[in-house]
Amino acid sequence: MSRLTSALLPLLFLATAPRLHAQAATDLSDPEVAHVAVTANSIDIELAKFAQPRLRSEPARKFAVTMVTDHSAVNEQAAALASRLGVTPKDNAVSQSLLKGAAEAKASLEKAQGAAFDRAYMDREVAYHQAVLDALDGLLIPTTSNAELKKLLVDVRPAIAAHLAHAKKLQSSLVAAK
Amino acid sequence: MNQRSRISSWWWHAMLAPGLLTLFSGGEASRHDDGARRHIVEIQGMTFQPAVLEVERGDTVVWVNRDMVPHTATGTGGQSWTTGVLSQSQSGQYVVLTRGVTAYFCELHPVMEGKLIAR
Repeated sequence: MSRLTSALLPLLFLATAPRLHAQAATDLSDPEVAHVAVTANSIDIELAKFAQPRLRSEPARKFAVTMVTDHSAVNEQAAALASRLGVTPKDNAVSQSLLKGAAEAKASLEKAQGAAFDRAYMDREVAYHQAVLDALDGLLIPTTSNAELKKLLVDVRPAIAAHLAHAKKLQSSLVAAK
Repeated sequence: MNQRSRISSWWWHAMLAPGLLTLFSGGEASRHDDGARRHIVEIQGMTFQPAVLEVERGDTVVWVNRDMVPHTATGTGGQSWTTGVLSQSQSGQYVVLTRGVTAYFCELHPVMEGKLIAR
C-alpha cells in the first residue's frame, strides 16, 4: 500500500465507519476504479431515495431529489464509457467497504425521526461528499491509467464539490433552525 | 472534388463558422436584424461562464449545458423566468426586458449563481 493510499483510506471511509479488509491495501486497477466510482454514486442514490419520503425540510428533500438525478446521470455516463472501452468494472475491497459503511449509515438514519432525521441526513451527505472528494483527489484520479476514465473523474469533481457546498449550506441552516 | 462541390463546401463553412464560433465561445454575442444581440453563457464545471454578463435591454441570453448533470438558469428574488431543466447539451434562453442587474441561479444547485447587467 502506498503512503498516499494509506493516508486517504481513512478519509474515504470517514463517513461510513470503515472496517477495511487487508486486500484493500493496494492501489486500484482501472476496472476497480470504475467499480468504486459506480458504487459511490449508487450508494448516494439509494440513500437519497430512502431519505426523500422521510425528510421534513423542503430544501433538504429537493437536495435528495438532485442527488438521485445527478448521480444517476454520472453513472449513465460511466456505464457508457466502460461499455465503449470494453472495461468491466471489477468488484474490490474498497467498493465492498463502501457498501458496508452505507448499510451502517442507513441503519443509523433509521433510528432518527423528524427534524433529527433531516440533520442526520445532511450530516451524512456532508461527510460522504467530503470523503468522495478527498478520494477523487488523492486516490482515484491519480491511480487511473486510462485517459478517458481519468477525464470522467476529473469532470465529475466539480459536481461533487458543488454537492458538498450545497450540503454544508443546508446543514448550517438546519442547525440554525434547531 | 468537382468545382460545384468545392463551392458548396466553402459556402457551408462560411455560413456555419460564425454560428459555431458563437456557440462554443462563452459570452460571445451575435447581432439580430433588429439590433438586439444573442449572448451565449456556457454551463460547465458547475459554473456559469461568464458568471457576469453585460447586455443591452432586448438582448437574448442563451444558456448551453456542457455538464453531465442537469441545470437551470432561474431568476432570483421573485422573478418568474427560468430556462427549465437543461440536460447535457440542451439550451434555454431568456430575453432581458429590464435595465439593471438581474441575478439568477441554478435551482438544482443553488451554489451556482450568475448576473446579467443590462444597460
